[in-house]
Amino acid sequence: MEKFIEALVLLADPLVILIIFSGVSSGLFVGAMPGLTATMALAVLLPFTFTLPPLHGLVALGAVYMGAIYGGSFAAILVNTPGTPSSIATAFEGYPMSKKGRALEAISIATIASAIGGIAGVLFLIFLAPPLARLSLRFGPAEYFWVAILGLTLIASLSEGSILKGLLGGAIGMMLGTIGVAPIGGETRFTFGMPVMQGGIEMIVALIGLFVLPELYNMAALGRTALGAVDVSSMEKASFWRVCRKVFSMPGNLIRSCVIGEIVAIIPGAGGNIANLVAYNEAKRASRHPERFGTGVPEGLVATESSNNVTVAGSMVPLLTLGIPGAPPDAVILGVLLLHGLRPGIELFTTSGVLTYGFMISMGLAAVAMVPVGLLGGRLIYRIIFKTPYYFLVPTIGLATILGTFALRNSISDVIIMLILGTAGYLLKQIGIAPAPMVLGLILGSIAEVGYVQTMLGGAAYRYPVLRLFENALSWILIGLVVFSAAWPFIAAFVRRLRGPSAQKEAKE
Amino acid sequence: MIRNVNTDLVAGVVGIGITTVFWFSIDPEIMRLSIMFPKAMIAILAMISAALVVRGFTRGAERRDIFDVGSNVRVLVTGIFFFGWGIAISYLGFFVSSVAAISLQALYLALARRRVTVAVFLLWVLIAAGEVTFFFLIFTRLLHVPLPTGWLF
Repeated sequence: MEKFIEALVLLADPLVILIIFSGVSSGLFVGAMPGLTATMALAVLLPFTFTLPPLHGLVALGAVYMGAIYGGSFAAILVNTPGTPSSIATAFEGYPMSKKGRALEAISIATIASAIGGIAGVLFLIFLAPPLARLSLRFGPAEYFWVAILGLTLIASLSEGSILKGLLGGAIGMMLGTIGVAPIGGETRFTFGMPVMQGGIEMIVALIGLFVLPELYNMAALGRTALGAVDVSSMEKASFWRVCRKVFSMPGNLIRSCVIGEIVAIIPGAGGNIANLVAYNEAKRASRHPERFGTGVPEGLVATESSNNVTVAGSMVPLLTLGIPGAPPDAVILGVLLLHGLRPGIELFTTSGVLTYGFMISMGLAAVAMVPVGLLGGRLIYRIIFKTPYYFLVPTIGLATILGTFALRNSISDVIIMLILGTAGYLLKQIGIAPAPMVLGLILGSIAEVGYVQTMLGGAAYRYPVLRLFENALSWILIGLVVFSAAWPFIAAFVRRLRGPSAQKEAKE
Repeated sequence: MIRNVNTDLVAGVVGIGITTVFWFSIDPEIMRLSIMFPKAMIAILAMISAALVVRGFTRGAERRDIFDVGSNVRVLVTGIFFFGWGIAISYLGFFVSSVAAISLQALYLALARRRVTVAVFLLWVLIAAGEVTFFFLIFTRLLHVPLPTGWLF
């Protein structure tokens, strides 16, 4: 407690507050640009932190990280382009709201939900770090495999209409994920004779192509942006207090999404990109009107934005306690810790407790800073996008996507792959195969492959190596969730039938 | 042009096409560890595609209008612009290709809505140059991303 109070005193410094606001603002800018990831923002900031005292450096990194994850929602809401993989599901509800002229309301909801998520993540980190870290250690290859399969079943419910088409999209995404060097085995596969394919398809490249290009083609086809003009009633609905009331009127959704975000965050390798989809799916499943999801429902937005911001501080649990980065940006923070001679583990909470608690609390302050920065920045970005004529908006977004894609690996081949995938995504969307399942398949593919092959290797001495997948209790819990998740659409349909024609009519409406 | 199609059947055929491409790309000499998972995925992809084809022949098959929103010619030309831009970067450099692509694309898309005089177009070229310079400086100076060079810089 003494160290906690000492940390609070250290943070009550105008310079720290300035660092937090600057960090959140620059993180927001990076996050809002498709292709620029939180990892990239932290990596760029890294050299600047060398000259700063350890606390200031960590505060800056935490603030940029928090701002970047939140900033991803802006592009998702305004141009249907998730700025970061953590905001994929934000586009599902945020963009339809924008099309209806409720963009400012959507941004305000995302801002408040993100701030709540950020603060919840810090509270989880402060109070639950040690027990959660022990839980994360129990995840072995088999459990990772089942987590990926759970994601696959979520794909089915994420698909717009047909479950089969959702699964097809997911399977195509997983196949695309197998291109390049095998994670175990090390041989190259499916390069189609092209050396550039040896590096595989980068997930961000696919994300940009599949989400952005179809939208640009749509704008070109329609001859206008799809963004609706903000109506007066929406302006009122976007006021801070009304949005706060709206967000806090769904406590169950908030708590569930934050808990999902925290659980996903502590699993090393799984971050906001998975948390936001899982939370969205659960919000849809728990909703009294799941059929309205996808048309601009604030519940969905609250679920995705609160869960992905929980993962920022949440992923610090395995990092600070075990030295395992929970998500890629955490690896940069681990580097800074090591650079300053700080080793993850119990010493970080005792000998360097003031610094560690200072870092944790600063992330909470960054979450609070997102509210003024986001509400002002959101209105500004909305005005810029809304006022820009569509014939300039299309090539300008094109410029940002080409630049963002190139910057990932300094590769023109990535740009061409992005364009091919985007065009294919546009064509597939015409026949009902949405981009989200494909991207999720790509993300989960490598997790599933590593889990599956490692489990088979571990079970080489067994008569049936596949039985290793069913060996422990945690695997069975995950299998139960998989079965429940896969069966849910049928259960829901059955319940609707039992409730009679009135329920079915309500569902159709 | 028939725009109302049986999308289940089309999706199934597309899925079978993708399955075939991946199946015939398997190197017969590859080690089991490297191909174990992709083979399982190919089987799953084939099953889902087959299920879609079967559903396509049932009464419950989904039909929907495709390519029915706006101008398909503009979509095609926009696509050509993007691919041309992506390829031109390697030859003309990032700056020149981007200024040219943004100005020309803006001109093409604007012509669908309004008249554009030479003076207006020249103003757009200047705006495009300013925009590209802004991004160029951020990426090269701040983010230290070496953007491709060609004509000019």
